[in-house]
Amino acid sequence: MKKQFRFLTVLASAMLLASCGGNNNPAVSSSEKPADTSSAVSSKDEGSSEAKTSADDSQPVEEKYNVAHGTGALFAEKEGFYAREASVFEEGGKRYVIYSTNETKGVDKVSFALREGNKGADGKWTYGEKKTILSASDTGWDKTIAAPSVVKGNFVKGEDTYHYLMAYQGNGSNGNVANSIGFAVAKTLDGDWVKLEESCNFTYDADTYGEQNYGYGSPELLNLGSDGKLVMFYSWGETNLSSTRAVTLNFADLNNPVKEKGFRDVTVKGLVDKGEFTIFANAGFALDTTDPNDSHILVTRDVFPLSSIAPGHSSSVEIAVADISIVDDITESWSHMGEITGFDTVGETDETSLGWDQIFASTFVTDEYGHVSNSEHPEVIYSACDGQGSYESDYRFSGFLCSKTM
Amino acid sequence: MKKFAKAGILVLAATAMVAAVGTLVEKDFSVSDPLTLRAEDFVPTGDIERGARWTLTPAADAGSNVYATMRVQLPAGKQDLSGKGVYVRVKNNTAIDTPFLFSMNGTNGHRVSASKNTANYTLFDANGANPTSRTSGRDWDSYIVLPANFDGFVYMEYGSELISDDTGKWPGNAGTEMTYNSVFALYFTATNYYEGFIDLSIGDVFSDEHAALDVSTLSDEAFGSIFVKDQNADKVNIARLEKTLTDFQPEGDLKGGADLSVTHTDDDLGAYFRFQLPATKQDITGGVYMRVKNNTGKITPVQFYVNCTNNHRLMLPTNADIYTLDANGENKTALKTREFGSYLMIPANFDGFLYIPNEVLVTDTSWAGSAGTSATLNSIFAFYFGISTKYDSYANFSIGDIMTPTTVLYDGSEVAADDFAANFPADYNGQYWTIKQHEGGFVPAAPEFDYGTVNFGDADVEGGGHLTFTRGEHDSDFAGMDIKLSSHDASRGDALAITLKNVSGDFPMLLTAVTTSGETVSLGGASAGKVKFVSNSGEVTNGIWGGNPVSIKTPTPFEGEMVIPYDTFVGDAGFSFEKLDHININIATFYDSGFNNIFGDVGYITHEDGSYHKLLDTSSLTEAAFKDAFKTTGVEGLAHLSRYRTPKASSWIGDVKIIDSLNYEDDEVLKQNVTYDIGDNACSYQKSGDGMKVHIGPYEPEGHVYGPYMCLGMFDKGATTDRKVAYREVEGEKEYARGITMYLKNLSRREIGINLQFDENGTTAKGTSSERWIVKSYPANYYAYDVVKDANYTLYAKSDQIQIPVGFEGYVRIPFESYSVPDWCHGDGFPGTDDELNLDKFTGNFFLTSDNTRYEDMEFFIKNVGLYFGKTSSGFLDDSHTIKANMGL
Repeated sequence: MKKQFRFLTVLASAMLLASCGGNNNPAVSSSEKPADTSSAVSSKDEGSSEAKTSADDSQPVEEKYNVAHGTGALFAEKEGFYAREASVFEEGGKRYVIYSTNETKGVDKVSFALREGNKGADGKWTYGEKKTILSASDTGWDKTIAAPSVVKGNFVKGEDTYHYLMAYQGNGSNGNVANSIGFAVAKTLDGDWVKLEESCNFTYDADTYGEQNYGYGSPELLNLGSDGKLVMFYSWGETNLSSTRAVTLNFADLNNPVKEKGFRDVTVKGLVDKGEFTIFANAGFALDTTDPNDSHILVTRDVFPLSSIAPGHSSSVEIAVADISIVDDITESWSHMGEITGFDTVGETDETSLGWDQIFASTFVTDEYGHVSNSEHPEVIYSACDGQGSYESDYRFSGFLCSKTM
Repeated sequence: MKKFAKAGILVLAATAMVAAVGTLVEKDFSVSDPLTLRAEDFVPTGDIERGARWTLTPAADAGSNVYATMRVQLPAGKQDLSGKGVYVRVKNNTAIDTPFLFSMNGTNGHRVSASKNTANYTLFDANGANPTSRTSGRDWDSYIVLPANFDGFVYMEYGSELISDDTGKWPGNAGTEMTYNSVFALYFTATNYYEGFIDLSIGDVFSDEHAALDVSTLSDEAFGSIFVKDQNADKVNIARLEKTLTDFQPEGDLKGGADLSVTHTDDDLGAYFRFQLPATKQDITGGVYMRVKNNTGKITPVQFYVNCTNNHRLMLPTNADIYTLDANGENKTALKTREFGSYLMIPANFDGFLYIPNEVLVTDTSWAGSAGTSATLNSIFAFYFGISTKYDSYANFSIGDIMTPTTVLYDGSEVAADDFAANFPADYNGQYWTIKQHEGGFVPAAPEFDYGTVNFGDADVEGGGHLTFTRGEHDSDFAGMDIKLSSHDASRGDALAITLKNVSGDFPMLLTAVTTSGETVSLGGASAGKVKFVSNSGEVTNGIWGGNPVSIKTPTPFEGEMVIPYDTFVGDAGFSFEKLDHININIATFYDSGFNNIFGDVGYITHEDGSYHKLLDTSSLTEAAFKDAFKTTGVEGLAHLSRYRTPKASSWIGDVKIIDSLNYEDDEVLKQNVTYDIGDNACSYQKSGDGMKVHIGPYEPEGHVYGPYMCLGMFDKGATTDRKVAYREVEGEKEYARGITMYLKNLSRREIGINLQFDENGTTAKGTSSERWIVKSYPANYYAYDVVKDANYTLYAKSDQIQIPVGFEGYVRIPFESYSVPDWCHGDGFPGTDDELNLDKFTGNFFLTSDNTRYEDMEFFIKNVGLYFGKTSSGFLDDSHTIKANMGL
């Protein structure tokens, strides 16, 4: 795989999801530009076939796959398709990846897909074909969807017991503002996913917060126990504030779903950003409750400020750990574990590559309940893509899901 | 040895007169003849003061009789008595002709003694004049006989009057000659049975050529080595004569002394009274001075005796000199005693001092107690005064102060009427004396009324006037406050009582009472010590005074009653407490603008029954009535008056200590306690329910010196220190607060940002200043609990404001970790800033701010500003430490 040098050009209006305090701070919270759906350019690369996945025999021979020029890619999407924003867990010896992708080649409209992974004798995971499990609605609050998070539990509605709950971000436009979080349930991961009523949603209040703020996004569900109590972390963006919040849910009885009325802005103490102020958003979490008396929580999150190059994601993610009480106690602090940057993703044989341009939307490989047993060396699944360059193919469809074990 | 009669007056039977050298002429002691024994006109001079007083312990009977000797040991270098003879300064302290043996030893052991039964000595008076040859009249032994009361010099010529004894009686004389130029000692000897009455004073010893002994220069130690007990030393008594304080000028008067008169009787009765010396003042060393006034135009003879505590009695000799001094204690003049008896002859119309030197006093041998005792001038029992009720009943005189040069024996001005009689008790036939205390005796002050016993009931400062000041530019800038009374008749009282509380230092105030018709009285100079402060705990302290005009300082700190007796006021003659209108408090603002006192109820106290009656009850006044009752006076703008309300003791809701509930009676009271700090028009606020509603106004640059913020101050008025306490006691340990809390309700449809700042009394090595703590910018965070939604939150601050979310109603808790000291609170003007929060220096002062530019027209409700102490969580893991749980909501 040969990396190409990328000339970094500064583009305007990267999304900034925080204020800097004081009266004279710049206006904040410009929204991300809507995706340009008119172009459908796939990435070109002469790289190696390492990242190639086994092709679908039914596809035309001329079909190509995106080729990862960084390391750690789980699988390759076909040209014109991207993979990002995954929810990954292992259950019954298999690994399941639920992620955002586009349903139509070259069309940047997200749906959620599922791939099942099997671990080979060499310890490497190989993933099967993707299956679309949930699509955006034609109308309504989730005309645009993103960032699925799936957790296992028991969710009863009437006579049906569902074993998987998905939270996902959506909005009623094609943009990335005024997002809400909604839910869907399924009995099996590859089965029918039933969207829950909007009454279960965390609905953005445009009247209170305005039309152009980010709202709710990037949900992360973790199951706290067998009693149906869940915690959902999510990103919140409004004028002068971007934060990661935590709320508790209890969807054990879907006829009477309980959503905590309050919320918690999770502390940023101990997190490291590149800018003056730490912005805590686009984060994935995992719980380590191996020792019930010494439970920890892991976080992997976009490092701010975001890249000024379209698509304007972060260029690295941070991984940190803290006592689980940090969700409760604002005086607690995270302990920085590490970071995944582009340099970490440079291929071993790529002498000229700089690795992935943009590294973002990370999560952990957990069990089906969102737990890990080894918080010291978690496996991080992150999204990676190219940034807009002067010669590249459509960077928007260059996204891969990659893995790194800390 | 012939014996003399022991008792009674010694009558000398025979005398000898010396007509010329070698011729002895029998002479009567009462006769003085010129002496021609000496060739030169040598006039002896010498002191007897500081010499020795020689007495013997009398023997009980003849069988115990012994010779006892006092030796006068001449010191080395002072042993040359060469010349024609030896002079000795002597005094006979008795009224008895007193014989004694006299000898002198040379250093070689040779002895010479007074010759026998010849004109063997010469007497000179105390001035060294009037020489008189004398002979002892005794043909045995070597006697010199001093006449009764003699005071002068004895001279003995060598070889004729002092001669060697060659009979072999003195072994030292064998083979030796007297060495007058080297005299060892002089010997004075007497028998203690036959001469047991002896009482002689010995002074200087010298010859016509050399001075050997100057007693006035002797130290006490030297005296003791010179005047030595010799033969039968245990029978010998030697005392050093005290110096006569001749330059003492007595001061005294007749106040409280004795006015004395006598009832006439046809029989000549001697009627006596005595002056009883106090048990602790019985030493008359130096002599006695008595202030005396003769209220008649006739010389008044008064018998006078002095009894020692051992019953030895002294008397005045006849024709002896005592002295008078004028009323100023000057112009000492000799006054003769009577020619018989022991009498003070008080001159007609005399008004001055009588001085009786101790040396004048002689033993009254007619007094039984004198037998076998010696005079103890340092231990006197009483002075006795007697008069003839027949012949001298016209007597009418006064005895005032009595003293010695060192001690006042009697000061009548210190003697109360009840104690007088014990000082001048009647004695023998005393019923004929009329003894009264002269005016001017001690009159004990009437006992002070104990204001600590008064029950002031519910008198307090509640609802009263809180008076503070701005410093005036001139020292003539006075300002203050009138307190108008509701009731005006305080005539039944004896003292005014003003309830007050001092929350500043002890600054002085002027106080004036004014009647309804305008008469005024103020604190007078005589008020010093009479104005009392009675604290609420009943402790009574004196007022502190100063200045002209007279001002009073309140103790600090103090809460209680300032009590002013009516008789301390001075002013208009027409002033009457029956129509008391108002009290004025006045302060010199240039000097004392730190004055900060709260004035409450006013009343009066009646001494008769110790009752207290209110003239003004401030807690019962309506707001309108308060404004009528309390008005500032003086230079406009310098006195500041607000109505005082006792701060509620901090209440607790669970783990929250409420510092300021903001729940005030009405808007007016609210605005006395919550004031604009900056930005006068930047907000409006009023009482709302059990708290305060705030409307954030527009940003008006001209009114905002510190930026586009409104700011309301919630200050500690100094009336209580409880709000400054930022800790609580937990099992004996201090548990400090964890942060600031308040109750908020968003009354608008957008979130509202506010900042609740507080002050610490910052102290560093550089100094002290208020250290302000404000909520930090993002990512400072805080807790919140919506009491309506029953929802817990943890939230970030935005900029330097915490957010009241839309629709929120409940408590927020801001941990101190989310506070910092702003940039403007650093630098030279803030020496106390150290960026370290010290909760022991918490002031309890809060500042509620909001950004007018962002939150104009927003409204919110706030109450229960305070401190929280419990560990707090949002209830994620468990709900045991949520705000709801901690507060027990």
